[in-house]
Amino acid sequence: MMLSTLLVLSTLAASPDPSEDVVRDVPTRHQLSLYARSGATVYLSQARTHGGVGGGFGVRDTVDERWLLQADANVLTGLGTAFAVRVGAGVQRRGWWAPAALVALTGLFGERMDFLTPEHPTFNGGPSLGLGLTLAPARFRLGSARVSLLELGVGVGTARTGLGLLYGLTVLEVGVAL
Amino acid sequence: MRLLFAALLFLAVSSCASRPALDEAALSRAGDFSAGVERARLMADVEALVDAHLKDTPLDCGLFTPSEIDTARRPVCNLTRERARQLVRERFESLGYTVTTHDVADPRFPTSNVIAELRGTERPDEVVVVGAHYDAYFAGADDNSSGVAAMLELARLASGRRFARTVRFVGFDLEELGLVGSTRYVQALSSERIVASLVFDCIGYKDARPGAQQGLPGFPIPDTGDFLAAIANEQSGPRLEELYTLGSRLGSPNLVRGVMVPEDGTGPATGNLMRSDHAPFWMAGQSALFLTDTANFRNPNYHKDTDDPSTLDPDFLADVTRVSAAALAFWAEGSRP
Repeated sequence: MMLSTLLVLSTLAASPDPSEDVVRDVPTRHQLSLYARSGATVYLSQARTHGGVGGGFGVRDTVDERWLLQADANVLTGLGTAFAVRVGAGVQRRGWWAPAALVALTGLFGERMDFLTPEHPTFNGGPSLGLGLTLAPARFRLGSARVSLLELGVGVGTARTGLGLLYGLTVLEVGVAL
Repeated sequence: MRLLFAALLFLAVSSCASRPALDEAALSRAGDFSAGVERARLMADVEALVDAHLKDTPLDCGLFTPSEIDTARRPVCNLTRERARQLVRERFESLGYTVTTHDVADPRFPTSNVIAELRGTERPDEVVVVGAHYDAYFAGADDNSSGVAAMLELARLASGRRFARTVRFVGFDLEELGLVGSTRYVQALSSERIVASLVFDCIGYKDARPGAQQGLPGFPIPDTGDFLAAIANEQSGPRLEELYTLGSRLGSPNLVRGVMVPEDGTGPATGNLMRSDHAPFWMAGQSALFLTDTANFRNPNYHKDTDDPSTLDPDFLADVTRVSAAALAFWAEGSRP
């Protein structure tokens, strides 16, 4: 995954920028935006299944129309009520079509399914944490709004009980610039 | 940022779970109690229950609308219960229990749960329930003569013994038609405190060949059907850990695999875990552990006329019953002569 991650990030970072000559000497520009998303997040390991479907809200800082810093909080249901907090950083293509790739740290809290096995003979508390890559290929700028469809994420994580896999799917994300 | 950090810290700390610490004296008593389980007696009870079902008259098929029922999955015209109920009642009585019934008159589906109780010597208002449904399709060897036989064996071992808490054995009626008897039983519960419940449903089938065990998405289970699934709600999560530890300490370290579901188990991903008489207990917020060989996820004879005693694994059934007996003694705080 590391190689593909680097490849995607470098490709996006090196995409042509029509206004590069104009902005070269301009100070760093920050664009804050709020966004809402819906989708699913699930963490799977031998000791627990955590997550569900739902949605949430987040805030994003877009630096120089290129770099992304964001954080969001989500409520998930399906396996009880769980909460997902994501903090991510990434890069996007400039222009109206703005596919992006993000590296995100996800924490899952709240209710879940726990398993007892010979390898995990007691229930372990605490959140499920995962670090992964999210790709957003269908992401568009429409005036001051941004719309993203079908973002996919995958990562690895831990819940004090060995490694697990973290999967993320964003069906729709809509953001507005502040 | 501080607020976010504090919220994350609170959520992390509040989701921590406790760990079981078993008292060695209680563990020893539980081990002694469970050592009395007899494999031959269990299988003899299975045979007797199967014989009762085969000689019984099925429920009137006219009670059902065939076009509304998948009769391959629920062969309602082959459901029997009367003779099995009588057998359970007579067995309880022969063991010296005073037997009561919880009867509900209903024009279409009247039910009669059979109850035998051993009053606790120190905390009689705290109750440990052991239950199994006695109605069955066809011969019903695994589903659920295996579970009823385990309940009868635990009743035999507990007979004449003393426990700090009340021990109650319940034969549930009409589980196969939608948990009818157990639902009515739970609805009629008084304010007593149920500290633990064990519900047996299909506990005698084992197939250790790779590929014999089917799974469900999100459930990390092996593909060999050689384990007992113990399924808990949040209230019974500590009981599940204790059951697991008892199994490990008493010589069956790989027998039990446990699942604890959130809330009352009614979420869309956990529907398959609600398919027995523990479900009404969960929905009422009561502690209940569901013990099963996973039924149709392992047993090809499920709800078929091939569900006969020759398909069961007597050693597996005995192991499950021993672990359950240990758990009963541990939770009821006994046994003493």
